[in-house]
Amino acid sequence: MTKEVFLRELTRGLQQLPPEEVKRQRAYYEELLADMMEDGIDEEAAVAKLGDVSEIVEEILRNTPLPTLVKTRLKPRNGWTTAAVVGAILGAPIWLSLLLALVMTVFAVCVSFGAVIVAAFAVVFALAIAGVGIIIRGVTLFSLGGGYVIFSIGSGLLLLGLFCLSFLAAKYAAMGLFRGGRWLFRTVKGLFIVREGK
Amino acid sequence: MNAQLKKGLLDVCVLSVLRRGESYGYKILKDLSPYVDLSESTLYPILRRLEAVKCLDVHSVEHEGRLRKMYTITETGRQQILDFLKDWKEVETIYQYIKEGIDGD
Repeated sequence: MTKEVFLRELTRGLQQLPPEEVKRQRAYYEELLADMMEDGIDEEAAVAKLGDVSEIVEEILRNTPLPTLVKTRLKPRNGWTTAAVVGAILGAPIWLSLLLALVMTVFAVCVSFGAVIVAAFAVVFALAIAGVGIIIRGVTLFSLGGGYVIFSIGSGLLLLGLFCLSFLAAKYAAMGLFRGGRWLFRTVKGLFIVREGK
Repeated sequence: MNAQLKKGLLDVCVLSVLRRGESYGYKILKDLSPYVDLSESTLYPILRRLEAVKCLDVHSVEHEGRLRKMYTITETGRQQILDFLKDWKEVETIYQYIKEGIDGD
């Protein structure tokens, strides 16, 4: 692949980035290639050394913040024409509510993930408190007889055992939910990354 | 090397090249190649990030009829290297502790 073809494909792959960022990226690779060639590496080998252009594009887009991707995705290619502005205003009742719904959905999902984690740990700690409470009560009611005390301490220890097990379970569940949330965020971000040919 | 560990080191590596004198993209890659495996596409975001936090200054110079971006380290960048070296002392202490745990086996 020649330098020109590489730069053309790079520019095409990055079209959803702001124009000034595309220009910067292009200038960076153009300078690198020129320096490599000046260093005695021939053009084809220099381009090959940079790696697959689609992988470079993918990496750049992955490293681009989500707001930048959304902004350029929503912005008409040739700037805001009068028709586009009128369309955007007239269509506001539809797209604004859809956008609001999307934001609220993401927010609701985050809140429910958080709520599930808090609820799980609340149950877990309730077991511990109940266990300790029963043991203390069993000891203080010693006058009712040894059997009652043993039964209370046994029940209390059982609850404390359940607390230990469920604490571990809640911890892994919380970690799972956290990873799930991160995966969801990446997927949403992926929606704004346009792949070549689409 | 572990990817997370390497990520933190790369910024300081680039700053360390510039601490020795101003440089440009290709030369930074060449200077670092004996020490770290740094790809062209990885260097770009590092340079941008370091520029954003004012660890380096950028200016263009004319070279062989074309423009070349030159990067210079700033005072903030120099401080970042010193901070890294200070942090590394702590890493060494942790390293010793981890190693002693293995030696005890």
